[in-house]
Amino acid sequence: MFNAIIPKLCRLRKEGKLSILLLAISFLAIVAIAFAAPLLFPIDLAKVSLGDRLANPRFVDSDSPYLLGTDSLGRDILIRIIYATRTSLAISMTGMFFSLVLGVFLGAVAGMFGGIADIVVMFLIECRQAIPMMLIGIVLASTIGPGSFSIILTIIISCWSGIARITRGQVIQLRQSKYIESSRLFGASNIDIIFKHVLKNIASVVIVEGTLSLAGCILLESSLSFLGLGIQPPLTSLGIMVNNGRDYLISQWWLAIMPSLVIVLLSLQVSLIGDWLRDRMDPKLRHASGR
Amino acid sequence: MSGQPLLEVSHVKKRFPIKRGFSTKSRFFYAVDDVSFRMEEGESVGIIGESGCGKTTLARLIAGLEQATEGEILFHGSSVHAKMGRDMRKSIQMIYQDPYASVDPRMDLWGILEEPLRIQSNMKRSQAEKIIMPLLETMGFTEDSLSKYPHEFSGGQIQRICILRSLVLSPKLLICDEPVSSLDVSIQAQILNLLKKLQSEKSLAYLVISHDMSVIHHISDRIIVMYLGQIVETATKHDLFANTQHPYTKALIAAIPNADPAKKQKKAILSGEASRAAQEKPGCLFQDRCERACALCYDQRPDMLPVNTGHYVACHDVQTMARKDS
Amino acid sequence: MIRYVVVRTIRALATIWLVWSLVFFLSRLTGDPVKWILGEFATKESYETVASSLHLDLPLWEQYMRTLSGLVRGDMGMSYYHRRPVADLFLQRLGPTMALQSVVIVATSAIGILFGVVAAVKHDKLVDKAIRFFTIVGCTIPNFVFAVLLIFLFCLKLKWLPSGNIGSFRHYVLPFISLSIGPIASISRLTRSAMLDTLSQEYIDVARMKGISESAVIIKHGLRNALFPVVTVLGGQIVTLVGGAFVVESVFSLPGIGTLSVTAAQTRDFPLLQYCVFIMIATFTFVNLLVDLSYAALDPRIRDGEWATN
Repeated sequence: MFNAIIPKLCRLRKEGKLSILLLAISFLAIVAIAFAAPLLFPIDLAKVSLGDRLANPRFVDSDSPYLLGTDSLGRDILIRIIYATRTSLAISMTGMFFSLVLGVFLGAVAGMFGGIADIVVMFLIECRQAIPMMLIGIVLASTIGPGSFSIILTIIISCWSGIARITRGQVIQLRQSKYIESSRLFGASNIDIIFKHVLKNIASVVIVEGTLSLAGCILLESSLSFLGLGIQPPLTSLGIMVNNGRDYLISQWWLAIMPSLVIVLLSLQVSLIGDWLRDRMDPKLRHASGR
Repeated sequence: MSGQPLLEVSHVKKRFPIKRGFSTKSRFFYAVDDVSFRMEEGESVGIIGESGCGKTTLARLIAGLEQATEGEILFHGSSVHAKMGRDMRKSIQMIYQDPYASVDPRMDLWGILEEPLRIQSNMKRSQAEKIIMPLLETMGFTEDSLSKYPHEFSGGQIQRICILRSLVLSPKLLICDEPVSSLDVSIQAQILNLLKKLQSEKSLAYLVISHDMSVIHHISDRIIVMYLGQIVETATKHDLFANTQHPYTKALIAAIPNADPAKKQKKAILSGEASRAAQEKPGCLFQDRCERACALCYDQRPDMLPVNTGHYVACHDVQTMARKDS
Repeated sequence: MIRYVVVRTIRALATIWLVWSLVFFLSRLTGDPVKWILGEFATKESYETVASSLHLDLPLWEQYMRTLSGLVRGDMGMSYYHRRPVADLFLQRLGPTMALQSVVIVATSAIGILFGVVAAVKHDKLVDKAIRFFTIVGCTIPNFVFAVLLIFLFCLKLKWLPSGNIGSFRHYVLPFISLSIGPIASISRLTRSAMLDTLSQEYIDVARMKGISESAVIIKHGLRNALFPVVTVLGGQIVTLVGGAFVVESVFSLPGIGTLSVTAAQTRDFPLLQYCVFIMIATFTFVNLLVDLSYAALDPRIRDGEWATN
């Protein structure tokens, strides 16, 4: 079997696809482990073990039973990081998914129907772009209370406008195309056209934009949790862990740095995958999203 | 429905606003400027003119893709407009210049052909097959091409697919906007012959738009010549070539490349370019480019007057000559 | 042109009003502010006293009209916790934020564009690769991680710079770096690709053939056109920059608007929070309006377009 794999890998490397394959595999591995966490490492997140507090990780103290040490309440850092990744990813992906749905819907309606719908949607997009995402998160956390729901809502409100704008642009372009016009000749209504033609043809653009925004969502969630306005205990998030680790930076620097590295790793992987996806599609996209 | 023409276009006008910088007054130019003509069932009418003469806009108005600013279009007595019902859509279909742009690149051949049927009546697959399969064979495609995608076909094949698609609903009128302009010359003849064959089989009426006189000559029974939104001459094919009247038509015919170098060509050189600014001046639209313009031409627009049975011209010079002869 | 100005200004005002109203209704409808202030076991009397003094016992529409007319008159209300006018509190904290943000905005734009131009001109050479690497790093690492890492390195290990509060210019160095890296990366990436696009256009070759010096070609022809998409984005960058202030000010304990807003959010001090939101939105909208109007003055095509669509 290995005889078959090695030449295949070499060919992929020549085609420049090896790196993206490794990237995708590593990301999927992280996602898989994170989501399987309750099965692989079943623990009670609220349980503390004060006797073991601030134990050293194995690279500092080779006898330590803890790979990455424990935190100020004696909890295994590695396992907490895995659970934190799980929470962060779950929240970000859920938020991203719903903002895609909302953004595509509003963008398609605005682009397809034009008129008042277009004016209203563009106005809403403008309003949203006048507000920093963090501020949205802060206001929501303050009014409806911090937690998973407020973060998901923050993500939806923050990200729908980028998707909507791009969708609208694509739809307006598509509207001019001759095959859409042909459908009108057969008597197709706007709804018919949206479902039969538009959605398929904008799918790739939307997926690219969604992937690139996902990185931003992960960062948004971490930032809010870092300020205490995000995920609340007993759930944990990478942002919370970094914040908690701040007090111990001088002696147990790994408490803050390890979760930070994971945030960076996740965001980097998602960005690179998104970039690769975008480069694979036509170069027109570069101007569409202004990146 | 006997006695009623298939298509009746009456004094149709279509204008578009010209956007200017600071001025608040809206200015318009007329893409279609008072056009009237008729078509009978099974007839083949060709519209010829330079780009910008309004022929494509006229085609789109008749297809119900745009709304006329003034005037009326009647198909079998019913009004044709941009918001007409699904039923009317069945009878009038259109094929375009660029075959690849006319089909959804992400749809396979079956999806493309079935779409009109599904939109109209949400037909079941078995019923749709009964309609599509025979047409498929006539066009020379096999069943396994149904799962292929547009990029797997050649330009000529896609155009045939588009023709096929437009016939699925059994229309009475097929509008062809530059149907062969983007195809190789060898394929052009194939497509035109296919269209002719289909016409006799299905008693279809054609409205063919082109800037290429040889295409129009090949496929039309009757020809309409347009210039800057107006009809300047209309006649049967035979009459138009044997007894050309309007100076513009003469120039168009003279411009047809002649393959035989031994034949001398009378050169009617057309100077200048058609420009929309001509619409803002009084008088005949062709005045700037016409060798035979007279004082009347700068003053008054000529009316379409008959010069023979079924042969109409809008030209002061021709009409003055005709009066002198009589 | 007049029509464009009027329409655009109305849109700007409508934006401010809409956001302001949303914050208002969110804060009133998602819980009882009086309960937050007094806690669970307040007596009925103290509840009523506080409620009436804060006008929270009025029906919602009346409260809204009161606050709205106050906004128009310039009276923004009192903070729930500090019992002082919110405008005063805000002004007090404005200093550190303005000092930091103004430097950051100018510096990130300048440095970002510079990096982008250099990277584009030295395309595929080492400098370009280094800048691109920096871009990727800068765009994917969140500012609070930078802040923590910088504190770790420069405050704790090297002891070169202070890690909190204000007092001297040195206190602003690390916050400045944490805030700037992301936007610099983002702007330089955009500038680079815009420059590469522009430089590959034919008129650049034409200019070169005319004999103009290389740097003149780059600056005069290349940069001027490449800057268009960049400047368009700068407006949004400012929004992001201020967004970063919330976290960075908190990490470095800078007594600025960022920490004020975060604390207001944490203590549910709605008038204060609403005021902070209002000022920020008004500033962004106003800046965007100025940018749009100057674009329209320069480019006639924008003036003639539909008022709503871009």
